[in-house]
Amino acid sequence: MRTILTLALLLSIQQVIAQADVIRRSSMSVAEPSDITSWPGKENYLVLADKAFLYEYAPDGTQIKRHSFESLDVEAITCSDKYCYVSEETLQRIHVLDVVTLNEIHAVQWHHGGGRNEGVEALVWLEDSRNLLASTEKDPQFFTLFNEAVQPLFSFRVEGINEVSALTYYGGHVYVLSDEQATIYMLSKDLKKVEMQWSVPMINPEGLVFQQGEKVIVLSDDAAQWVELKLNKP
Amino acid sequence: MKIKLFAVLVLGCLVTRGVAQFSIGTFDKNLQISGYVTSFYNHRFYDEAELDKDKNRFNLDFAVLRFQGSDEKRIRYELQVNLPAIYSTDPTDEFLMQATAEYRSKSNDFGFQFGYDKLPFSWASLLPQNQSAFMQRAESIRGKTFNRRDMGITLTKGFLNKRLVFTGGVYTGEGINSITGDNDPNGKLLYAGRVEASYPARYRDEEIDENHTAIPRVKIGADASYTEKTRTTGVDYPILTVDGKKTSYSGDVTASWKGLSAHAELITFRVQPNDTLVLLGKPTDYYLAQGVILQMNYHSTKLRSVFAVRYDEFNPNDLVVGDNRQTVSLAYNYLIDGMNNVIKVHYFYRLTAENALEPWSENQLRIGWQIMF
Repeated sequence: MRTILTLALLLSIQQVIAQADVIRRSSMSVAEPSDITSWPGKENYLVLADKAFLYEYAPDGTQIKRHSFESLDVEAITCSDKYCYVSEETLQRIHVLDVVTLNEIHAVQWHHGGGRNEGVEALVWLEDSRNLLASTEKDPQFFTLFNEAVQPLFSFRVEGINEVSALTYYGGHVYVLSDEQATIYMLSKDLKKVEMQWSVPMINPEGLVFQQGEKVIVLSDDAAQWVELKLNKP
Repeated sequence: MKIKLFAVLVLGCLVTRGVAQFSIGTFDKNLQISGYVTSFYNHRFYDEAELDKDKNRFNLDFAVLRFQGSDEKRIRYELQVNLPAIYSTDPTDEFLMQATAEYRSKSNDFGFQFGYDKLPFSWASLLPQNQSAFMQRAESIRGKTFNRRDMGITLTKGFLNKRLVFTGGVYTGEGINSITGDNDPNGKLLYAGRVEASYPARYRDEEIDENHTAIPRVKIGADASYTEKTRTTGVDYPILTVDGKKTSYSGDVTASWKGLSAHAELITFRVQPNDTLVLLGKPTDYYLAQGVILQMNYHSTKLRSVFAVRYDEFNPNDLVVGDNRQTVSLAYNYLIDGMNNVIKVHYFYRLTAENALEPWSENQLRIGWQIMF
């Protein structure tokens, strides 16, 4: 009986691991791309790169323009139907931009005491609950839920995730990208556990967004590449 | 019962996850506080007849405090000190490790630094010791052959997303004596530079491939430095500074893939002395001191371990045949929390050089514990 229970327990905590296949890679004309997000009402994407600047990219990975917003050590971007939120890692600030004009409205400092390279590494707007989810990178990695005005609600950790480079939201699920593990994780809808994961065959993945179906765009920071991946079904 | 209680306390300390780095800040400034403590026991395998066995001892290798500041004007500053060096008589133990002010461009591909820091020379010297599997650097680059740190100005420029990086600077050339002391009577400075190229992506300065990079990556580098002085210094090797011209150059190749990483480096110091007696009557106006480093590391996530092997060789004077210091080092690291909390074991196996009767030193075992915060 004990053996059966042990096996059942092992099976219940076993996550399904699949492979993500590369569909297309292309070089980017910017350095150190750190995040990508869809832009509500537009077909183009917003990309943070060069440590400081905000760019607009077409769905095929072509750079359209550089927007006027700039800051210091920008790491993460996500947009709601009203605002775009940009994380500045070193000074641990979150800039709030108008989603249409991309002009800065104000900034909020959220200082959690971690190292200057361990600030908010990833942001995602949860459109169903109308909350902003943030994650630190590591040492320690943890998630924090904010309301729309960037007021912190609570923090939590998810077992199995130790390092985070990007977040995105698709089909009611939060997807987590880990640079050091080169893995995309799909969280359960209650954000309590990892339900699925895909290994990503690329260097230093940072920035994650769904394009259509099971196709995702992942940016490589060190290689400055735009990589389109297919998430295979396990 | 007491033994069990002690074991529980020790294990309790060991499994606690280290939390590296803290910062405090205002709206426009940030100050990061970090550091590390490394203690070890060292055992030398002396001959039975040896009377002086003073190297068998416990030591505090590092107790480092590091302050790194930055502001929204892109000004950075750093202060790093190693507290045990206050009590050391060994000139390679430096109390002040870094004191610099720096400006970085918006896109982070250009930097200008002023102060006391490592010279841009030798990749193996530039890597932090706390990120290495080993507990001591190779003989040719551990601070006995060139001043690893100096006062001066350093410029850095990166191209192609830092796949190509140039670093160069000008320094006093007197090492630790440059901090507050005067220059050599001839007043001449030291020039040093490094160029490195990486493929297919920029290569971060990491000796161990903890991230198990999915695609093979490689970096090649070349360095050079030049100075002229009138004083010869150096405790074990009289080439730290030389009365004459000293030209140093090195080349290195580094690669990593899926937890495996390898490094090869060749370092040469060309000494052209003013005092020709140093040339031992040979028909030349210079001599070479040369070092070789060959290293391989494997990081196992499953075993939470690093296994490493290194061959290092140093010949302090090519005019003296057979005067080689050759060592094979084996290292094992147990990663309790990555490099933030790690047990390190380093075994030094000394080889007998060709034409030498004895190995240049005794074999040695060093076991340490490193905590980073």
